[in-house]
Amino acid sequence: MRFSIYRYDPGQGGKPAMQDYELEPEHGDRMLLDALVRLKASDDSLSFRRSCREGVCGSDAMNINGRNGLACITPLAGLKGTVVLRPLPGFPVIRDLIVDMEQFFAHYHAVKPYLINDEPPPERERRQSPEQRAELDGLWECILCGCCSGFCPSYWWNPDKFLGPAALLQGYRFIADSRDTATAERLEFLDDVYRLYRCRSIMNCTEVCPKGLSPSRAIEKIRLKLLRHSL
Amino acid sequence: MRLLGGLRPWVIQRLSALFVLGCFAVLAACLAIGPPLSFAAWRAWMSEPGAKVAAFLLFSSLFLHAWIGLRDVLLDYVQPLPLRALLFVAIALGLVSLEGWVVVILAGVH
Amino acid sequence: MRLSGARRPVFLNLFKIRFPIGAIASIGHRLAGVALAAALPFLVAAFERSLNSEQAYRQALAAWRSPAGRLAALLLCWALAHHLLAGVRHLLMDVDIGSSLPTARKTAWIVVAGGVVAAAGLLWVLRP
Repeated sequence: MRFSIYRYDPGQGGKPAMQDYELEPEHGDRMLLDALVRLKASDDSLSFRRSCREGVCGSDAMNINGRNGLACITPLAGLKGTVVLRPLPGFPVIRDLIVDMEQFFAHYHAVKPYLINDEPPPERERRQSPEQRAELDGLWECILCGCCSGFCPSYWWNPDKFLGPAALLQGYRFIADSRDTATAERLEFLDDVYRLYRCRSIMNCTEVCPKGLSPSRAIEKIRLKLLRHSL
Repeated sequence: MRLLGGLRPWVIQRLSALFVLGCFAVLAACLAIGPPLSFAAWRAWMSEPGAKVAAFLLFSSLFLHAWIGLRDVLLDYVQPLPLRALLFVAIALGLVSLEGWVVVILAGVH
Repeated sequence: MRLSGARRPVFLNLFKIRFPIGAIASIGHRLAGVALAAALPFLVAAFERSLNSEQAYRQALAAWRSPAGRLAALLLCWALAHHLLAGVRHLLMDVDIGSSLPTARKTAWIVVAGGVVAAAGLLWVLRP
């Protein structure tokens, strides 16, 4: 198999460049991450993040043949021709395929991704009906890999002011939570021409989410909630 | 609804779109069903106050919709604030001038 | 070890990114919108001229027949059709119709193809 991988060494500076590799996958190599680990064994300078190797930690998000995805759950069998690997688009590159996620996480923190409920805690837990719990499906599963925000043109043009699909989806996760009492404040925070309303429903986010989530739908629901709250 | 929030422009963009869509549908139906319009008939129709009000509302909706759309384009691509402010003002002046022009045209049709 | 003052590079070469059909529909929506906005002064001018005199009215209609007129008509027809179809798709998604990915892909194809087809159709209706 042939690979063409984005290389950048901050110690040397200069411009990033693509480097070609050849690899014969061995028995047991099923995913792109397996190939990358094997490539690193022969070229130790090749750098990428990885951890769980099963699609739940979100560490190895990257641009694979033009689309964002997780290397550990991208089957080698599905990759045709030369496999072109680049870092997540729009994110500052620290080294090779490793990107700076500071801004991404800052947006996540900005939406206050935790339950806000100042009422005295009940004896056991704050209860929810099955229907109320179902409202959180499609939202709690986010692994904060960055594939979505890294594929969103609106996030590319304004990564500092637009919150991006990942943070917005988490913002909705708490708006939709029946146990949360800060809905009004959360909505007011999001009602901003940059924070939420840079979203044009391009839906690139939903196309590449490795967990099958739909940030575009969550954003739609925030807009409807904002509308209903204002009437 | 916050004064400078994002909800208001979004709502106006949607409402103006719906109104323009409705007008276009009606116009398309008229053009498809009715006979081709002669100059005399066109002018006579535009002289009626009802038609003038409808035309004014249609143009206003178009300009409002265009303003919000162009504003979105500027917010996305123009980062430096002075340049963005200048372009905002230029486009706003352009659209307001067009609105004034439409009023003059409609007032002059008898 | 990081060189002081060195700025981190960013990968944003749009030619190396494989855009889904929804993104094509979306950028078309924006380009069409800007084109239509640029045409607004001409629309108002044509509106004025069409009400001036019989001669001006016929001239306005005949202007479509010139080569420049036909090109303008083609571009504006595409712009109007694509912007309208994409706009309707957005309005439906606002009320949760067609938001799921498979449906959204299909409607995006309808918008892109429909824009071209509707433009050709509109051009035929307004044929000289």
